[in-house]
Amino acid sequence: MELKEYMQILRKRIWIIIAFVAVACIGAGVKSYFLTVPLYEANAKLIVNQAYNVQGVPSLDISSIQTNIKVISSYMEIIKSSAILDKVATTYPDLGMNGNELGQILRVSTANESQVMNLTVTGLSSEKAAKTVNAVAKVFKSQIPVIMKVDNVTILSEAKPTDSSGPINVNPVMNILISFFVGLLLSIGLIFLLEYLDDTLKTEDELEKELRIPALAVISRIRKEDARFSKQSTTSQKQVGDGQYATVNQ
Amino acid sequence: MPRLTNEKGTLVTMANPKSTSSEAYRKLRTNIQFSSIDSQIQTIMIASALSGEGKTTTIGNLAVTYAQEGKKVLLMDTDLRKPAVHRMFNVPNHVGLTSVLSSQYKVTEVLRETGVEGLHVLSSGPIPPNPSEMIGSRKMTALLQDLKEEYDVILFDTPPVLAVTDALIISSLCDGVILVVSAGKVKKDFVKKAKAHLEHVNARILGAVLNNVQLPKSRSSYYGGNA
Repeated sequence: MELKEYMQILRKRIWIIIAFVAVACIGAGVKSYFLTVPLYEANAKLIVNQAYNVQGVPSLDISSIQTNIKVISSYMEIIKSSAILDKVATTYPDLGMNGNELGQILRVSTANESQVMNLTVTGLSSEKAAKTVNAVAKVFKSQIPVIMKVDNVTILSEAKPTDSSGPINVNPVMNILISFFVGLLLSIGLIFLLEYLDDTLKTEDELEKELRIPALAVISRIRKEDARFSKQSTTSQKQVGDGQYATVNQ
Repeated sequence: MPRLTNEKGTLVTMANPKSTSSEAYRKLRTNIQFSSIDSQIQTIMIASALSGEGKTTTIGNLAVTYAQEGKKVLLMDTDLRKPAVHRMFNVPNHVGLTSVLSSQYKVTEVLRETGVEGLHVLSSGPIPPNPSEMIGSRKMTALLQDLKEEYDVILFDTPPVLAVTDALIISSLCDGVILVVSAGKVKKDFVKKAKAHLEHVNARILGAVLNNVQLPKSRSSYYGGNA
């Protein structure tokens, strides 16, 4: 089969493609505009750093940095533990969440080989998310000296309740675009499957090959306008009956 | 003037002799004439594997093209179970072939004129309880002998090959069989089976007609239509 035949196959069942793509796009649109609760995200950054006092002079050396980096992985676990989150819940009752719920909306990450920790909270509004993430950061900073006996956490940046970058999970254009391509692929796949499963005779060549008898004629679907009387033939029945066609090729 | 279109088929060759479809039927006529050199093909039947493939439409239009050529043509409806030719040509069917075979009428009494000069139609008549026996009867053979002297071409519309045995019986009475295949509708296996059935009874298959083909738009305007 060559490209032209593929195009022919697709064109024959173009309505499948149209239907699939339309349903997929409308579905994605409805889902993202009406059925998705928009979620907002807020970020706070903590830096884990402590300069050691060497002979009374604060200094920063490579080994202390390494220690801080090592200690971060412990901090990531600590921040998600109930020791911190329950404290956040009790200290800030206006958040209206318990420690477990906080744990579910909180993500902690760190850039590789850096001393910076990134706290991210997802919430139903940007203000709420910012408030929550700041609360977690503050409680963590205040609790670390208690837990680790070392005060080396500083809040690098707090989330600002006002800066809203829009919901993170609502991207209708992207969703529709993805649905469009998925619908397109599925429908094309389906069409080729149907074509493959279709074991009917369709062309003159197939007929001659499969039956090994000559194809005497190929008759196309009779068009409606052909079925009606054309003007010259309605005027006289005789003209239709024999007329100019009767003896032309004999 | 007879009505030319109905749900069963379309006499495009009569309604619109210049159309592409009419040209296709003329090509069929020509190819049938060329498919035999030594023996004359006087009786032709149209067969198909399943019903609804376009047998009646094809045979009706073929009959009209033969008549337009100046031949004396008889179109016989030997589908005694679900006859359709009478509707296509809009002729009565209260008497017909079965009336002749059961000796109630003479054949000259039931032959019908059509709107086309030189084309007569013998409709099926009332539906009998024993169609296969009627078609296989000696009376049928004798009737056909008489009609062959009257007409240049006799065409038979038949029931589907895979449905009933009638078509195979008729094929033994005919000089040639044309197999109609509806494009994209019938499984290859069914068509092959129908062909095998016909070959088994030594029918002479002249060839096949591929019916209901959807031509791409660019091709249909070639030499075509009313344009």
